Amino acid sequence: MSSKTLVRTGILFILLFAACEDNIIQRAASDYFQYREGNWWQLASTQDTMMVEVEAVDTLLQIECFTVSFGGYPKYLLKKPNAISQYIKIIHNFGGEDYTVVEDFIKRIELPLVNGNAWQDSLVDSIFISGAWIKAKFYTIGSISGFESVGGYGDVYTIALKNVEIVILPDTVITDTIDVIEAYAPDIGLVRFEDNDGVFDLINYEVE
Amino acid sequence: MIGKSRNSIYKILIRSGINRGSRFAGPNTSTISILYLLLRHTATPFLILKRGLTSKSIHILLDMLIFLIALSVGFEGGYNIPGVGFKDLNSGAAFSLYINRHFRFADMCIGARTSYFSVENSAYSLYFYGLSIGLAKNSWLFSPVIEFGPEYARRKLGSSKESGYGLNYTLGFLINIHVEKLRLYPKFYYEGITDLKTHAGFVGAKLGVGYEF
Repeated sequence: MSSKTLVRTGILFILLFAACEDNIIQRAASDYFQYREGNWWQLASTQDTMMVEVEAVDTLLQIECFTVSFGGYPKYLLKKPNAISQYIKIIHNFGGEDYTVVEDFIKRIELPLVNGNAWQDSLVDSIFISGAWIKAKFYTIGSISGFESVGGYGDVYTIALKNVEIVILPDTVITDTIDVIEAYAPDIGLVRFEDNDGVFDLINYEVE
Repeated sequence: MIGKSRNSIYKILIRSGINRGSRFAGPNTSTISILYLLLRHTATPFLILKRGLTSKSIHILLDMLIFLIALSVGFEGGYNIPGVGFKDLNSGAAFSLYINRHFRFADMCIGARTSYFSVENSAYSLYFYGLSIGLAKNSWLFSPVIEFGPEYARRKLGSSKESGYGLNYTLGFLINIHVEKLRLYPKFYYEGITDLKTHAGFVGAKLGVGYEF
């Protein structure tokens, strides 16, 4: 085989490869969760805008975590190699005094992101207040519903999350369910957020 | 039986002086080996057609393949750590098999390789399987090495899987230590992988052993 033939074969091979849209290395090697202080993402729906900002590191349950403000509502998130965990605290007010029933970190998103993966995690605890048991449960069900190549962003994963909070009192059960859909782009972060208030798409961001 | 026939063919070849045309002075065992293999395999395709693909015929075909393309074969095993990208990956193991042939000024090797990585999430695994073509200089003590080739990547988390293709390139150097027909070498390299959108890579070290025919 002459060196000319080798070079031609190499060029042809690279051209053929370039024609195939496959970003497996991007999905495997990139960071989809850019939680660093000062990073922000501005998202907009048809009626409203929402800022997502990473604020100063906080310490909860002796663990350092990021305060991420979603439109003014803080979420305390902890990034580990195997999951993004969220701090959950369920408080029951009785006789004008707050009692903590559940307090811990729950797995919010399992890492690394792989298409089709599904996970769930739950926190359950109870407290005895004034002769009655108050029980609380928080659980998350998550799944990666797919990924698509979006121009300028790369391969974007779409994650469906269902958060359910249940408080069982002696005479009643209070249930609060929140369904959200979030989309994350490699080395950018959140590019789409969808909940009961509408669909928010990224319009501006700054990540370091 | 084979050894006996090999010896008799050697004797015939040496007596007939068939080796005298060689550019090397005196009896040349490598030329004799090649002629022996040629004689032995002349009827091979007919035998395979007649008898089907038996283990013996596979053995003969492998013999012929090595004869045609290889001057040495080898194995490498080592350790990769993420260098660019792959921040959440732990270190991984890498192995490769290759055949080597002298090509103009350098030694060209064609090989197959695999590497495996894990993360703290024990359910996750990342595998790479690749083919590579590379150049080195086996006669130098310190030899630069360059390799490239296609790579198949497979990610798995529980029962969910993703797979795709990438291009792999390796730049590094190796230290050749020759012990008779064996070549032992530590190899230090940067192994890059790209899907032409993202570039990532590993820094690694391998220990290789090659046998030169």
